[in-house]
Amino acid sequence: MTSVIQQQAALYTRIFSLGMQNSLVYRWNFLVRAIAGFVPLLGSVFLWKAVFADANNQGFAGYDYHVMMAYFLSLIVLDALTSPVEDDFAIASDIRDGRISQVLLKPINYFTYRVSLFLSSRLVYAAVVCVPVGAMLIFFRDYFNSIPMAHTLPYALLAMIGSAFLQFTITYAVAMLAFWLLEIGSVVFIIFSIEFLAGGHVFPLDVLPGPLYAICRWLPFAYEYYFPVGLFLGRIQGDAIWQGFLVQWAWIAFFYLVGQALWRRGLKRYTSVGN
Amino acid sequence: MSRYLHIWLAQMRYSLAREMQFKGNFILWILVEFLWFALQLAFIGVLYFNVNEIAGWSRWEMVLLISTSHLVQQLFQAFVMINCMNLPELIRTGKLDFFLAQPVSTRFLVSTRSFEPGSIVNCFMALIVSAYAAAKIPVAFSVFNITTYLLLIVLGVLVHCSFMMMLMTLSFWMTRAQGFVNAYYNLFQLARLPREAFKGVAGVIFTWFIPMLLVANVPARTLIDGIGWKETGYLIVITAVMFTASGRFFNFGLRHYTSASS
Repeated sequence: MTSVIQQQAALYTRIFSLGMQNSLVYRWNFLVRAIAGFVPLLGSVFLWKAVFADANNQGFAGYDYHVMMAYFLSLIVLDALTSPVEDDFAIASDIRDGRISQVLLKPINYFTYRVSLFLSSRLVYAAVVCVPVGAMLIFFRDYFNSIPMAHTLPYALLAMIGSAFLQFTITYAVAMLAFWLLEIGSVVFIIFSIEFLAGGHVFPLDVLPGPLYAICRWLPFAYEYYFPVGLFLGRIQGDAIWQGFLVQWAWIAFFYLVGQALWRRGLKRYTSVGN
Repeated sequence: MSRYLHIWLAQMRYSLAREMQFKGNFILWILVEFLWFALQLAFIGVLYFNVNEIAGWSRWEMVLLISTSHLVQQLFQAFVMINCMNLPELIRTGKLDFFLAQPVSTRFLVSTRSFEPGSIVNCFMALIVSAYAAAKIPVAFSVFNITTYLLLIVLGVLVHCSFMMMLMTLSFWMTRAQGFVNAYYNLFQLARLPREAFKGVAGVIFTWFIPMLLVANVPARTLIDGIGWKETGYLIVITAVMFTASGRFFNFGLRHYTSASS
């Protein structure tokens, strides 16, 4: 039994390391992507500055300018560490081009295989972008002054791990549609836009009117972005913390099961020709 | 000239026929763009729950700015963007050879080959929202200001064309310029912000050197307040300069094209 576990661990560590090497090929691409990611941040900085100037320093739904900036800066760090980059398209092309046949013929679990590749690409991405993102954090360090980090950071890190798994399980489940659709790009972007809006990537969800905010808190998307960042900033407190973790992991389990069910159904209609 | 028009129309017909093979996909992509547009409007809605004005722009003026920016972006996507995105692949695989062998301008063929009819549908949506926002401001409509608005939008599209073409021309030297495509989507996000909000170096760079803050701001302001000669004049000059420079740069890059063995 132990040796089986050891073998499996060795197998997926190998896949992880191969994935890392593969990601390193695109390091310049990663860097351009990370630096270009600062352009919208620049836009956010100026837009929110203007918004707070016009709010006559009365704050914006309980946020002051510094906390609002800290929110968007933290989102950039969260994205760099957790967001799947084109995993959905890679999985879809594995299915469409018949490359999953290679996996089916070996004692490899496709989900775990993909998780290994996802984690390795996140590690390389984080390593490449830690310099520009680190520089950005140092440059804007004043925005983080009022945040009780010693208290909030452990929760935020836990929620970030959950966010990575939630983002991945959603991505995986959506990519499974490639068994039925020729091209999943449009579906990916439709879901992406909903994730952005209802997940708190465009604005913190607690600036929404009460009923809308309450709805968003039950949807999975809030647990991808708003929940970890809100915890970090100390905006989510008390029982809401534990409730949040429960809801986050419930959604992870849900999307994992949906992904697995779609995989099993998809394999029944999968045909591989000429491989 | 009429020969080029003839080629362009033929390419558009071909693209349209190709798109119509996958009708479901065609409709889904229209929905995608529409959702992103709606997302921007929702964001503005949330902002104006709490404030009455942002950088001197009222709620409906801001809606006009965002829809104008969307209109420019969709026109650009309909006619040019997909072609710019394909350029690195043409270079990498050596397929650019086929374009070089044609008896017309390579730059013309490369930048007009494909056409996205779905974006035209989104242009109409942006136009409707623009017209609604303008009526709400309210704007005094006249043939003159509507014509100027539309002409300025064409200039905005040309600025995007020239700038993105310059970026993609870099792929003559770099094999993978895909990162620039993502970078460009980020630039679109600046174009829909009020230019008065930008201060300091960033404001100067994105207004006068990479004029993203002019492409939608100038037409929207023109429709609201009438023509501002300084900005309009500058937009005309910078468009001409960028368009010429991108053409020169493309030809320069072309001289470094070595094709690829197959």
